Amino acid sequence: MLEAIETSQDPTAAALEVRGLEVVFATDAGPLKAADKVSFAVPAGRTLGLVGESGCGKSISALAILGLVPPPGLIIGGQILFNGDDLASLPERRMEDIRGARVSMIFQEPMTALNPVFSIGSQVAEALRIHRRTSRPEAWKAAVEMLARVGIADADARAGDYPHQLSGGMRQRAMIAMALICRPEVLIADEPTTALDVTTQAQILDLMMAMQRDLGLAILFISHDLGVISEIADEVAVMYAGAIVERAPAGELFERPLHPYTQGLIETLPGTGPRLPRLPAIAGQVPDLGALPRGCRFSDRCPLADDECGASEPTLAAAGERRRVACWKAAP
Amino acid sequence: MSGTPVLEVRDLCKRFPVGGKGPFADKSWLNVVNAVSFRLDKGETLALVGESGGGKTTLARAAAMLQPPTSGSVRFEGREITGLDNRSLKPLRRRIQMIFQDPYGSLNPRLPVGAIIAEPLLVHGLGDKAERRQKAIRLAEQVGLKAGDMSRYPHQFSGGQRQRIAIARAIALQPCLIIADEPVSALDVSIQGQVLNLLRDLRDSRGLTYLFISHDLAVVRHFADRVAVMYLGRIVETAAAETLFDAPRHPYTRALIAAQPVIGRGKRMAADCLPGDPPSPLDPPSGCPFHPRCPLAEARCRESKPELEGEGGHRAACHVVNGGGT
Repeated sequence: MLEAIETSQDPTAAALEVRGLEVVFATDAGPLKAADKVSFAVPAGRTLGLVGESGCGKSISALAILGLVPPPGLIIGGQILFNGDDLASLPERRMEDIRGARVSMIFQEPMTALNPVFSIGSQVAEALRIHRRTSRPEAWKAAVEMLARVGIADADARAGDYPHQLSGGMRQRAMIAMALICRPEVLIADEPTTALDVTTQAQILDLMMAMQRDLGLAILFISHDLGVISEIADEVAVMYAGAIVERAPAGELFERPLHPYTQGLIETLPGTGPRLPRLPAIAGQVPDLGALPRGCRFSDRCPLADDECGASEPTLAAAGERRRVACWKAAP
Repeated sequence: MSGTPVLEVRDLCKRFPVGGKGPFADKSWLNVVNAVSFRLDKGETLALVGESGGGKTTLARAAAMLQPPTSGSVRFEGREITGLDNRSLKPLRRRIQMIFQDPYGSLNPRLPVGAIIAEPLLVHGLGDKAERRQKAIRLAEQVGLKAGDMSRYPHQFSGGQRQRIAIARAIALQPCLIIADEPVSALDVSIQGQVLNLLRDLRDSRGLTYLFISHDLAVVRHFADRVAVMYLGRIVETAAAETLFDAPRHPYTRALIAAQPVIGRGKRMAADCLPGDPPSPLDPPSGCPFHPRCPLAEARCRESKPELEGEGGHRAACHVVNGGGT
């Protein structure tokens, strides 16, 4: 038991580790905690799926890793450990050497993330020119190779294309090429397939897994789609209203979710089983971060909630060897 | 299959001119919907599925005469409605209502919720002000909003609540057909189930007929009675929902179902996923439009277009699965 904990939580094995991250937005209505003591680790060659509904803080947690929290947001606590450095307190000059080179990120909508006035080849090459000071022709050559590697047919010719000339799937491939050209150790992917059709989504997921095998990438994969997370993640962290409420290996999480919110999410999805006349639904709405219920943040929607849940907030506590859950009622 | 269908569409085509500004420039045509036929009986839910650019939305809008079709016939409750002018269409518009994907874009941000829900009644001159107000409150309550919400504005509501407002507005005129274009795609998972349940309750209590557009096969499998799969402006397969998902015939339908991520199946294996992107409708492939991506394609698929064929309401447009000689 002890041994298992040591090996699974050995910080040296993690390519990226976030500990107790707290991000606050100062608003007229007072401070809003967008990320509340968020902790997770992504080992090299593995994928952590961060899943939750809109506004739960999954994107903010990812942006915080790269020091990109938009104002008026502020990291007020916690550590982001990468390669012995704490990215949360690293000066911007040093952060620039890491961002895009050793930790890179891809986004949901490649049309807005790519620059419309530069060819995709030059955008992929730019990363190399900035971070590795590669000469222009060499960077172009490397960019073309990378584009071919991410599955762009006839990359030599297509490298001169502009983003609007490509399909959504091809644009996402170009963005992946841009993110990987400097051979990063960590890739943060924020809803990378959400804007794509399902057959294109399958292609991009396969590509990401192949690149992970080749490069030993640690991937932080953010999505609202439990199906996608189930197919790509090794470990899953479920976020609700700013906090991680459950963390577990993917297989165990989907087979036996412990937190009532995770259970509700899985049950409410129309599945492949027999058709039900009605879908089991989670009651109510996701609460405003400014008006969280007292005690457990899920207590106002939870079917199991009682007085205890309204009185004090559960912490993310161990539930079995490799699982954690923040719930007073969850039976491990 | 008896009685007058609510909606019967035959050989509907919709094309748009592209390129070339001015009256004398060369124009080419974008054939978005190609000779599509289907019927929709009372109380039935037909889902149109397929990937973006397949023509689902254009087909629905043409069938509702929001954008008149280029050719083909649309019969609504037995009556031909293509060729009718706006004035003759107005009474029909009460019977056909739409719900859109984006509950942020489809509600007027300057109107309070009460006025949004009552607006169709106003447009069609039904009731006086007090009656419309009463009716709006009743509608709001039916979709799970509170009477106190009536004076609030759309931005004060979450996505799911806004979709409820849009649904209340859509049922205000007691339509018989509702065209729901990706009604839950923009909603969070925990809200999706609530809205689908509401749509189903309204169907049962009001005998509504739905033309339901979605790219999400799991939602369609749960919600639809019958499914039509579209690819490049054509229906390539149609069947009862259970049949389609249990025994898909067209290779495109099979690829769509295989590509759909499923919870708890474990990590994906490097799958044999469908290669390439859908071709441009400006320059569609010869023969079967799916042949460049199709794992089963043969020589005849490049040459001739397969017809939608099959028995017992399960029809597919594929030379190979329909068998027969070459």
